[in-house]
Amino acid sequence: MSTSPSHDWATRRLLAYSVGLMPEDELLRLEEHLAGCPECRARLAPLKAAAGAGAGHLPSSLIATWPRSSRLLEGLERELVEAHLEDCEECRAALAFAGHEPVVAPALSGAGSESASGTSRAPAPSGRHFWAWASGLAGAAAGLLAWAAATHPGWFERGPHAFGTMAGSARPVAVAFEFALDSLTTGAVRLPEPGFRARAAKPIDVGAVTNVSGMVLILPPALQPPSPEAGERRMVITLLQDGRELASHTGPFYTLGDAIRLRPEGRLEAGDYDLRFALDPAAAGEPALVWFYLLRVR
Amino acid sequence: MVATAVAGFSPSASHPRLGIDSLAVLERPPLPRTSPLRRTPLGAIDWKALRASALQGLRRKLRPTPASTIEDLAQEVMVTLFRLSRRETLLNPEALTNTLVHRVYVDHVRRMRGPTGRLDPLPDSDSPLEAPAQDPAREVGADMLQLFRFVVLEHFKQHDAPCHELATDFFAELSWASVARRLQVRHITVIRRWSRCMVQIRELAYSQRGPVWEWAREARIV
Repeated sequence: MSTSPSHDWATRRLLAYSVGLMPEDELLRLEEHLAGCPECRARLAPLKAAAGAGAGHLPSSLIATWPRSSRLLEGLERELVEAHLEDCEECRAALAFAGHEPVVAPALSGAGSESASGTSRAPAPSGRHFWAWASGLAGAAAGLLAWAAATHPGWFERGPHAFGTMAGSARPVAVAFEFALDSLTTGAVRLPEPGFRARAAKPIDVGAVTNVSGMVLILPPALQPPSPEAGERRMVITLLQDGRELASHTGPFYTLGDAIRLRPEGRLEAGDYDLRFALDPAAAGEPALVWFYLLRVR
Repeated sequence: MVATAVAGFSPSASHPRLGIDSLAVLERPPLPRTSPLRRTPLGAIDWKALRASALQGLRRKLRPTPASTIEDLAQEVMVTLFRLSRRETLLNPEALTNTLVHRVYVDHVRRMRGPTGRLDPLPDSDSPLEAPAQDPAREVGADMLQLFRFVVLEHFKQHDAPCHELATDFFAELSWASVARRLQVRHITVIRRWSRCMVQIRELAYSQRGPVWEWAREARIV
């Protein structure tokens, strides 16, 4: 068995390599090592086989334990599994063979799920869970902001607004933001946990949006301050269409409350809109936290 | 193609090659749905007997393991067997079941050792593996490494076709040099292309919640 520092380093990095998560400079070094190290190649071989068996399909271990494993899925991973099941006859057949319905079991945490009355609140995550997640998001947000600043400089040029205009519309429509609404408001749409990059994995159908009722959005736990200190941080909410800012509001995080409403002066045109939440960092020098939702207006 | 290159486990002497070679289909793309000729008719396989055999084999290998875990692992064997039967006629389903039992057994023990345990050296022979004591409250669940790859592929399938192609190739080959050869580009070129994709996975891993991403963070691979 090899014991050189190079070999020890390689064995520690094999797992990251096997899932494709290794920086460019390390990749070259590791592949060079692999070429001359039969022991490392032997360690990787079973993982290669498992992947070749159908990495693009639901793992057999997931199907075998479907009722309780699918219940644990959250957020994007849940959406991706659901989307795959809609398209993949092979995985539906495997589930049927195992005696399971091709339906992802309701989430354990209750996030994104509603009671029969449709008015239950998703439980707030534990502080540890939120902050572990949020601190991780900070790194991602830095990249996002850099990307957004480069491609959509207009997003960052606006100051605090309570109203905005439909810049991309033939007939400009002002949109007002209302905060701290009752989450039991009729027709409210519950936002799932935040999506990724500039687009959520799936658009959220918000129906027709008029001046009468506007668009009421119930905020997920991630968009509610976990502490009074966090509540004082500045939150910028921006509504965009095709990358153009339509409306924006800036205020303390705590003012959002459980639910918010976007009320246009007239009727919002049918189409897809991005709703962006940007929260100032806890400490100067750190990147802001940014969340995106894709809203589909009929 | 020999079975060892496909399944990652050396077939024991008791396994006739005839049946084990059926695993070779794992490295080929699935047959078109309109080609049922080579699929095994469901009625031609005694699934009940194969399941009993899988349960027996797993009980023998994992003696102190709770019965519910054995049931889950047997179910995993049967699901894999079923998938194979839909792709190609199973010439020797009994031998294939034995191979899959061994594979699932080894995977289970390595999963129990934690993320890095997946890379522990395999035993040279059929000698038993040392499994860590199982927490009775902790049930067997999905293989997180496989689920992680699935989520990555599915994400790229929906959002980024070039990254999806690279990820599919890499997860099948586990070698960027091989991917570069297939795409007929330089090694460094394919790695640079992948770097852009990797940034997306990292962002996902840091921004999303759920067991897949938590596993990746705990394994310190992101």
